[in-house]
Amino acid sequence: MDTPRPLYTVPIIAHRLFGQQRYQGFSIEPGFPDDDNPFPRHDRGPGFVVRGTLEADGPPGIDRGVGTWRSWQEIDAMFVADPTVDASDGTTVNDLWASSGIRFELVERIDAQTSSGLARMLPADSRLRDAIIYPLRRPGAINLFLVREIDGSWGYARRSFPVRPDIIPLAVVSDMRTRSTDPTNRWRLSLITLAHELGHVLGLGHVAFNDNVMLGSGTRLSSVDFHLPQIAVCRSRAAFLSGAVAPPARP
Amino acid sequence: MDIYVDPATGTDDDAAFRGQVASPYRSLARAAERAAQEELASGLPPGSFLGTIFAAAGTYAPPVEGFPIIVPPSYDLVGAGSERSIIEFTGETRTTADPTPITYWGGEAVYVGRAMRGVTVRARPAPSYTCRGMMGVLVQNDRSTVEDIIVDFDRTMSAPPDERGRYDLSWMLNLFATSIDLVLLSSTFRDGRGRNFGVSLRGCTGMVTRCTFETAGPTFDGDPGGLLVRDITVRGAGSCEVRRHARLEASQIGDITFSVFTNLWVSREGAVVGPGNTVEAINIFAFGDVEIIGNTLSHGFLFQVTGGVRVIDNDIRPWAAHRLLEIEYNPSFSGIPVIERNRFVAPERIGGHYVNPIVVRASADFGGGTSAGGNDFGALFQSPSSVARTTPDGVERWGVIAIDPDEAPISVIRFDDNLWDELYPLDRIESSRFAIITTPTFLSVANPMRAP
Repeated sequence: MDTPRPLYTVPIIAHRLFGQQRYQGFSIEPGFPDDDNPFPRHDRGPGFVVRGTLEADGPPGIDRGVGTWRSWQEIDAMFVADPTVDASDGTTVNDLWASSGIRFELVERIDAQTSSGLARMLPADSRLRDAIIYPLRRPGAINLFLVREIDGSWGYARRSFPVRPDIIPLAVVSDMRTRSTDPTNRWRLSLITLAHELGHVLGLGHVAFNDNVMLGSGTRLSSVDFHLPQIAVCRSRAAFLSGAVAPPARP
Repeated sequence: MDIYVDPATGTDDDAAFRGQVASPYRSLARAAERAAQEELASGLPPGSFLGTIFAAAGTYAPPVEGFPIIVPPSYDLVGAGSERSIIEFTGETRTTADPTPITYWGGEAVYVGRAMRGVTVRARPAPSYTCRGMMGVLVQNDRSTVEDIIVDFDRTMSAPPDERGRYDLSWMLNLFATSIDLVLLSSTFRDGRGRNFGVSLRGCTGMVTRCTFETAGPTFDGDPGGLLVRDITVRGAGSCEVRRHARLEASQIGDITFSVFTNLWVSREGAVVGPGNTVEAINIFAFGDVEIIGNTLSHGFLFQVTGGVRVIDNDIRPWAAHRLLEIEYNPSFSGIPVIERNRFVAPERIGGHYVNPIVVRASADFGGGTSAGGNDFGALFQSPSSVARTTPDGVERWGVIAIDPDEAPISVIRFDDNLWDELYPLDRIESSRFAIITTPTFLSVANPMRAP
């Protein structure tokens, strides 16, 4: 079956997840306030002194030193080929999805922040991850989060039927720096992981075929195909997410 | 275009005429691929109906059958009846076409397209394989219909179930759906593995009716459009959950003759249990802004209420009980429980802890506030057991209502306008029927009336 031209273009809002800077006007330091020891000759063990207030300098800014290493240029190149990007081999996630008639388009770029510890590694606990990620999402597109590492996986996504107004599709992909040291492999694995998570968003579960993008037991360089029934499922969702088809009226 | 499949006489090839009634496919996976080809070529929008995959009577299993069977969104899958068309998932995906042995890691055995009728989806792990971690059936599309299906586990393939009736090698979930509108009827779900969950409907609207859940606990989580669950039977499931805008009515929840007990959980805004349910659970837990109205509630241990739960017009008659009702304090749940026009009857089987049939540990409105009262406590303190204490008037009776709001910062407890047994003088009822363990901020037992 030939499906060379994209039937549906699905919008993506990309979020780079970073940590946050320290509060400048607030600190917690070891020690004790000078007037706080009624028994100065006794060792009181470790203590701390709070200096300043949280409100002194307003909310902390983004710390881009903690969080994803991906540049916007690199992220753009995941969707539109840009051979000038060092990390890229010139292929895109849309190449992997080409047979489906679905194309993904980056429509917005956001630098988001969370606590620096979580920006270093998202936890395995899905409830904790959701508590971090959910408030950052924006309606009207698939929200893709680029993060440094995820405990226990290279990416994850929420699969839900996207026609309800309260459903905001979500996919998360890690930098995969620890997956492969070879830059070409890492780029390819990043694209396959991204394609896999977008497959979840568009309704697919895992399969056991090594050559399939939705392989459930780890990302492999050979996992690049979709089966026709998978494409049919994805297209039915992409039709809504692209805005080409209006969602059905609520019961 | 309809597509025909017959596991005994069919052939999986690319012949142009393949799939017609006289020349069926052999496997459902191959038929689904053909259906997808038709759907993709049609260019029709989602929700269109293109045809039906007819599954003849027989068993669809590896190595001929391949998984997952993804029926595309514009197609129905119709078997010859749930007892006759059997899809067996063995846990491996080794097929004649691809002999590499693989076991699944998550995923679903069957995706429902537009509708599914008349088939069984059975977990039947081959030796050294497992179906754990797998979903049996995924209902993926809005406006789906699922009718006359069985999703179960071949018990002969496994070690005996654990003490909660769970089979280790069985489905993680027998069926699940998220954020869609669906109708699920006349189906049976048995012998799940997951944490008491056999069927999970989350954020769904529509209707579930005439279904049986046996050691495969259901979660009914609706959305503001409403999910109606009516005329179902839940037996031996570790839990039955009714959440968020789901309404459960005219159903049998729990069965005390069954070897595994069921817990009923009612939680999150808009959940309603009633009217017309018969509940024979081991425990009933209700949290938050939910309603339990017009049921026969028979539990074996606890009926615990937390937050602004409305318990109205129920016959509360445990089969054995530690507590008929416990009002619990939890700062996470705002609101005061409203307990109105219920009939409380002491259980026939009384355990050793049956001392306080009602325990109130937070503010509660049994009458006098929003509640109009009318609770009938006439049969609450009378015990058919010989284990009873003799009261000053020489009548055997059991227990007192314990007032113990030791954690609630403010506790307003009203028992006005209720019906009481006539064994104590009604003017002494406050002192004779209550044990004040922790003094509440306010306690009132005004206008007591004699029970009929």
